[in-house]
Amino acid sequence: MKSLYPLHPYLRRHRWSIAAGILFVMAANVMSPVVPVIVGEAVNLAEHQHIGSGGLLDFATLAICVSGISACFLFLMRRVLIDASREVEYEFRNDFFAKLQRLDPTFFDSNNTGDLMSRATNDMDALRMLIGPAVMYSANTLMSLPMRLIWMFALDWKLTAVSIIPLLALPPLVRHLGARTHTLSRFQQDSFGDLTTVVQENLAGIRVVKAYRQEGHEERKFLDRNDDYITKSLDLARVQAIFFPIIRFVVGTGYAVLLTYGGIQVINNQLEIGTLLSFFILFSMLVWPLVAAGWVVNLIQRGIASLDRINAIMVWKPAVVDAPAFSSGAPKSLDIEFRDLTFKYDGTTTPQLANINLTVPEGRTLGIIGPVGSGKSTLIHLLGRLYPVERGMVWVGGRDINDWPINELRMFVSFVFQETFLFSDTIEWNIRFGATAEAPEEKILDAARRAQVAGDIEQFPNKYKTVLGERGVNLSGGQKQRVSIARAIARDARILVLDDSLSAVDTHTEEAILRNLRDVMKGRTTFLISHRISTVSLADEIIVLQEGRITQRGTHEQLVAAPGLYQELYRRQQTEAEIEQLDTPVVGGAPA
Amino acid sequence: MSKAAEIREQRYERFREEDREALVKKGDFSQMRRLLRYLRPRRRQVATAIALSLVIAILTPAPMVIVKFAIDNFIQHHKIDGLVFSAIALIVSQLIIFFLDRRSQYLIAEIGQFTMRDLRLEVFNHIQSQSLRFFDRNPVGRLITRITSDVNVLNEMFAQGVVGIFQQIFSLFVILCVLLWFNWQLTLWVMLVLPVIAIASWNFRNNVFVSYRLTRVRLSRLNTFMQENITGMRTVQANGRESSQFETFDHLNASHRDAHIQTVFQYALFFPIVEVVTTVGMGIVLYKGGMHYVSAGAAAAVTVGQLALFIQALEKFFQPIKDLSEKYNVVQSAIAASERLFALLDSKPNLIDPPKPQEVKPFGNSIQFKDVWFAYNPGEWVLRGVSFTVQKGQTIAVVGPTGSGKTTLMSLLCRFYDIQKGEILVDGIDIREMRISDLRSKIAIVMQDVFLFFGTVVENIRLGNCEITDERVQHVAQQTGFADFVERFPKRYDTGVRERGATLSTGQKQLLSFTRALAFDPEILILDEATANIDTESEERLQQAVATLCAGRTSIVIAHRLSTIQNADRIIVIHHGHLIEEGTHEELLARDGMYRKLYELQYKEGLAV
Repeated sequence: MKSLYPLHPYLRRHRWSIAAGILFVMAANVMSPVVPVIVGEAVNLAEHQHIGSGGLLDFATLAICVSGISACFLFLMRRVLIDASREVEYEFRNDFFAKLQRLDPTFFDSNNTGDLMSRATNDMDALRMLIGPAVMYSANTLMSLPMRLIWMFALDWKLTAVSIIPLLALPPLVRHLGARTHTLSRFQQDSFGDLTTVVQENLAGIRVVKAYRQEGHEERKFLDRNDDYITKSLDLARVQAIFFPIIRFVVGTGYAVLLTYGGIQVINNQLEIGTLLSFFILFSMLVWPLVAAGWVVNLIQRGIASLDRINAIMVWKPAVVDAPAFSSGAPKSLDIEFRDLTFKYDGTTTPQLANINLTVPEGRTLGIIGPVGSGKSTLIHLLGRLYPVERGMVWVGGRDINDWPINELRMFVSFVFQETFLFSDTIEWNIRFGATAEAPEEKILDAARRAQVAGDIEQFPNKYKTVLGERGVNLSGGQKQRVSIARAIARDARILVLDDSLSAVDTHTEEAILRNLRDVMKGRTTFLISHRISTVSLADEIIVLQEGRITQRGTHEQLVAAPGLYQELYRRQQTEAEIEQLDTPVVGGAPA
Repeated sequence: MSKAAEIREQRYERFREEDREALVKKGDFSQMRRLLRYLRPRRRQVATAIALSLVIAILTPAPMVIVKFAIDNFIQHHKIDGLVFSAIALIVSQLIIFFLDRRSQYLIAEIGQFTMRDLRLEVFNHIQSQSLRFFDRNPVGRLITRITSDVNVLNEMFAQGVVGIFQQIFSLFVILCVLLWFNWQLTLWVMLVLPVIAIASWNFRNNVFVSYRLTRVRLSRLNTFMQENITGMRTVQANGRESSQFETFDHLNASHRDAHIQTVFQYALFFPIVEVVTTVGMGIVLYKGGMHYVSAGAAAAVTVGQLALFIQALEKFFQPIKDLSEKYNVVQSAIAASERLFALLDSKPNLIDPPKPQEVKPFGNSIQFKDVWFAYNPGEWVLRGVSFTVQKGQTIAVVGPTGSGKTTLMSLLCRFYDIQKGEILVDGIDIREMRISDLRSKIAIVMQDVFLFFGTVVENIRLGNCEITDERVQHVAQQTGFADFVERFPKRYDTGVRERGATLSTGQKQLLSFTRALAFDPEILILDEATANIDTESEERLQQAVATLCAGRTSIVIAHRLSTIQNADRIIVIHHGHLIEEGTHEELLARDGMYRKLYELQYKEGLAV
C-alpha cells in the first residue's frame, strides 16, 4: 500500500523487534490448534471405551501444558510488538514536532493551530492504533489462520474444504466495507478538525466573545460543527454497524455446513464423533482471527487516513531552506545590505517592498518609520529569513542571505516582535529563553533591569520563579513587551531588532528603556521600528517607508529639516509629546 | 550540576509533581450515576438498545444448543432429516442475530453521538460563561482537550460501555443457566476456575487504572506543550531554541510512552492468563465429563453433545469476563475523563447573573466607581480604593504608567472580573445586580490585543450580530478610515482573515477593531490603549472618527495622545492603583499637583530636543 510508505523507515528501525514478535506469533499459533485435537482424540478414545480416567487426566494435563506454552508466547508477542509500536509512535511524534520546528511563517500563516493540533492528537491516536494493534492482530491473523487450517485439512480435507466455502465471501466483503470506512472516516476526521478549530478560536478570543456578547453566536457556530460531526460519524457508524454482524453471520453459515456435512459423515461412519468435536473447536478458533481481520481493516483504513493528514505536514516543503552547499563560519563584519530589494508575499500581486537600497554597517543603528502596512516589519522579517527572498537582494556580512545557514544567521540576530509571545513557564525561563542555557543568573537579572521590568518582577511573591499563564495573561501588555525585550537583551546577539516593541509601554518607561538600550546598542547593529519619532531619533540613520518604498532617508536632524512625512510626524508628535508625558509619574527618577 | 541541567531539572520536577497529584486521586464510581444522567433525554433509545441486547444475549447460546441437539438426537441416532432441519435452524438463528446486532450497534452509535453533543455543548457553554480569571489560570490547550478528547473518551463508554456491559452480563447469565439446565454437576466443577479469573481481573484492572491515568495526564501535558509551541513558533525559531524545546518535548513524549508501555504490560499478562484458565476449564470438562462417560458407558450422564456444548460454552463464558475487564478499563478511563469534566462543570462560574436581576433601562445618568479594590491574586492589590464618576455623554481620559491598573479598570467595568471591595454603579445600580449581558450590551471595548476570527473582514466586523447590515459595516468603515484599506483588498469586505492575521497588519487590525466597536453603536465606549499600535497617519484619520464616535457617547479612553486628552471632559491619573488626581486639563494644570509637575517637566524636555 503506497500510503503506508511513510512508516517504512520507522518499521525498519524496529525490524528486529518486529521479526522477534512475528516469531513469537508463529510459535504461539503452532501450539494453540493442538489443544482441540487433543480434546477430540480423548473423546474418540472414550467413545470406544479405550481409555480410563488416568488416561483422560493425562490428556487434560497435556492440553493445559500446550496451552500454557502458547500463552507464554502470546505474552512475549504483545510485549515485543506493542512496545515496538509505542516506540514508533514516540519517534513519530518527535519527528512531527521537529518538522513543525523547521517550518517557516508561511506555513503557520496558512495552517491554523486547531487543525494542526487535531492532527497532532486525533490523527496521532489513529496512527498509533495502526502501528500497534493493527500490526499485531494482522500478524496474528496471518499466522493463526494457516496453522488452524493445516490441522483441519490434516484431520479431514473434504470436510474442511466444504465448510470454509462460506468464509470465502469474507475477503470481497471486507474490502468493500473497508473502502467505505476509509472515505467516511476521513470525512469524520476533517469534521472533527473543524470542530476543534471553532473551540480553539473561541477560547483564544474569549475576551472579544464576552465583550461583544457573542456567546450565543459562538454556541450556534459550535452546534453547527457538532451537527456536521454527528452526521459524518453516523455515516461511518452505519457502515461499521454492519461489519461485525456480517462476519458473524458468514461464520454461522459455515457452522451449519460443517454440522450437516460432518454429521452425515459421522452417520456414514466416515468420521469419528470426537474428530467432529475437534472440528467444531478449530472452526470456532477461525472466528476471532477473521473478526480481527475485519477490525484490523478498520484500524488500517483509519490509520491510513490519519497518516495521510500527518504526512501532508511531514512532506511540506519549507519555503526557506539552507542552500545545499552553504558557506559556514562567521564573517568578520556583519554589514547588512539590501540591494534593489523587491518582495511579494505568496498569493498577492502588489509588492510589499520595492527597490529598497540600503546599507547598515555593523554597529550602526537604523530607524524605520512609516505608516501601517508600509512594509516595515516585512523588511526585518526578511533579514531573519522568515520568508524566502530572491538571490542577490539581501546581504549580510558580504554574503547573500540565501547562502547563510538559517540557524547560524539567527544566532546573530535578536528579535523583539510586534506581537509578544511568552511561554507558560517561569519569568526567569522566559528571559533565559533568549540566552544560552548556561547564562549566569546575573545576566538574566541585568537584562530584566535594563528592560525596566525588574521592578515589576520583584513585586511578585515568587519573583523570577513566577509562572505565567499560557499567553502570559497575568502580565499587562507593557510588562509582556518588557519581558520580551529582556529576553532579547539576554540573548546578547550582534544584531538587535526591535519591531515596534515599546508600543504598550508608557513614554517615561520607554525613555528609560531607550536610555538603557544605548549601552546595549553600543557596537551592535540595531534596527528600531517605531511610530514614535522619539524612538527612531536615536538611530544613526533613519528611513521613511511608504507603500513599500523608501521615500526619505537621513539623520534625525536632516529629516526634521527637510519637508516630508518625517517632518510632519515630528511636528505633530512634538506638540503631542507635551501631553504624552503627562501620564508619567515623577517617582523613579524622571529625566531632568 | 550545570546551570542548564539545573533549570531542566526544575521543570521536570514540576511535571513529576503533577503526575503524583494525578495518581493520589482514586476513581470515584459515584461519577457513574451522574454520567448516566446524560442518557436521560435519550432513554427511549437506550431502552430499545437494552431490549435488543437482551434478545441478542438470549439468542447467543442458541447455535450451541442447536449443535448439541443435532449431535445427541440426530447424528448419534442417524437421523439425516433432523440434522438438515437443525442446520436450517442454525442459519435462521444467525440471520436474526445479524439483523438485531446491526440495528443495536447503529442505535448505540447514535445514542453515543447525541449524548456527546449535549455534553460537549454543556462543557463549551460552561467554559464560555467563566470569568477571565478562569482563562488566566487554564491554558487553552487543556480546555480544548476537555471539550474534544475527554468527551470522546466518554463516547466510547456510552457507545460500548453501558449497553455493552449490560449485554455481556446478561449473556453470561443466560449461558450459565443453559449449562446448569443440561448438567449442573459439571457446571459446578467448571466454576472452580472462576476465583482465579476473578483475582486476575481484579489485579489487572487495579494496575491498568494507575498506568492509564498516568498516560492521560502526560498526554494532556504533551499536547499543551505542542499547542504552545505552534503558537509561539516564530519566537522559538528567532531565538534558535528549537533544540532545547525539542529536548523538553522529547522528555514529555518519552514519559508518555513509558506510561503507555506500562499499560501494555498489564494487557500482555492478562490475556494469556485468561487463555490458560479457559483451557484448564476445558481440561476439567474433559476429565470430569469424560470420566462419567467412561465409567457408565452408554447410559452416561454426559453425552458427546453435552461435551461439545460445554467446550464451546467455555469460550463464550470467558469471553464476557475478558471483555468486562476491558470494558472496565473503558469505564475507568471514562471516569477519569468525567472527573476532569465534572470538576470543570462544578467550578462554579464566579461571575454569575444575580438571582433577581435589576431591570436595566437605556443608559441615562452616570457610571460610578466607589472605593473599588481589586486584586488578580489575593493580597496583590492592583486597584486600591479608586472612586470616580463619569456622567452620561462625558469623555474621560485615564492616564498613568503601564501596570498602574488602567486596563484592569476597564475589565472591571465590563465585569470580566468581580471586585473585592467597593462597588461599580451604572445609573446607580451595582453592576453585580444586573444581568451580565444587559451590562455588556451597553459597552463596546477596543482592546490592546486585537483578536480576529477565521472568516471574512465583514464577518469580523459584525461578528454574530445580523442586525448590522453590509451597508452599516461599509458606512462605519468609512468613518474609521478602515474602508481605504479594505478597498485595496482583493475581495474587499469578503477578504478572508486568518487566525494569525497574516492578511492584515497590526495597524489594520486595530482599525478593524475600531470599526467593529463603532458598528455595534454602544452607549458606552471603552478604548484601551488601542491607538498605541497605530501610526500617526492612520491615527489622524481615526482620531476624527473617534471624535464623532465619542460625541454624545459616554467614553472612557486610556489615552496617550494629545487630541484625546484635550477633547476629554475630565482626566483621571492612576498610579500604583491609586487615583491620585482628577479634573480637566486646565484644572489639573492650575492645581499644583503631579499633573502640573509632569507637564512642566515635559515642556522643558520638549524644548531641549
